[in-house]
Amino acid sequence: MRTLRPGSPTAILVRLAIVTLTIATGWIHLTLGGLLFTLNGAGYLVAAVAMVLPLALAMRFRWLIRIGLVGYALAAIVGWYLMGPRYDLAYIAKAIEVALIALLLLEIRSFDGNPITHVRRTVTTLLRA
Amino acid sequence: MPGRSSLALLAFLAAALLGACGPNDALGLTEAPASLDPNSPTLTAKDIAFSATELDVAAGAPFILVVHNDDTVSHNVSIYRDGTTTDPVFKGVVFPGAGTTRWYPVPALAAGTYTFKCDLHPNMTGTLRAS
Repeated sequence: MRTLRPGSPTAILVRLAIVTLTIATGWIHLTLGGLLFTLNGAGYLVAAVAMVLPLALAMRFRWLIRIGLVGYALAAIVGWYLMGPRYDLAYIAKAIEVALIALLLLEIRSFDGNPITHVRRTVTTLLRA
Repeated sequence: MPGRSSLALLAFLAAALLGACGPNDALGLTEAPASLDPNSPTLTAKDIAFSATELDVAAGAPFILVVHNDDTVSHNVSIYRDGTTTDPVFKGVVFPGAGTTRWYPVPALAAGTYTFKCDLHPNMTGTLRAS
């Protein structure tokens, strides 16, 4: 798996694809109705915004947003696998989520490295404060 | 190595997704069968709720379950052996709303009490009695 250079056209395209895929699966979930799907869809939309929010705090913790979004998409896939209905729109949503996870892992590998290092650094910073 | 573990995770996800994409055995006719019994059990979905929570059918005879979807979102109806809704005896196809209807050809059920529900919306549930 190749890595991305920050600010390169490929990195920008990957980020754009992540946001597009996140909005796409969020929108699909919002169209399904019911509290669970609505909350799931809203969560994806919030994550899409967090991925591009130009605030210092969001930029500092983007590694956490990426990991959170991977976990969120994984939970959606596992939840569907265990009890979700099998039909065309569900397959599309899950394929989108798999592609989303792939791109997020590419970003994590390129920009974040080992997430445990980030967790350690954040905890140390918080303890010192 | 993160690269290898990432690829392994993706390969697992892709395999799981492909494994889940088995043949879709959900059923639903888009037109009423010519032999439709006017007294066929009927459900209407609206505002993420079914019009009835109890249905009665004759045991040992196949029947048509008529499902109107007057909602803005998709629904289906599946019938399960009991309230755990883990053992389906019939799976209805998911179909969009806005005034559409599907006619589900349900096979003969042994006498007993079953649970029907929308697989998309777990709160949409009811009891089907075959006697």
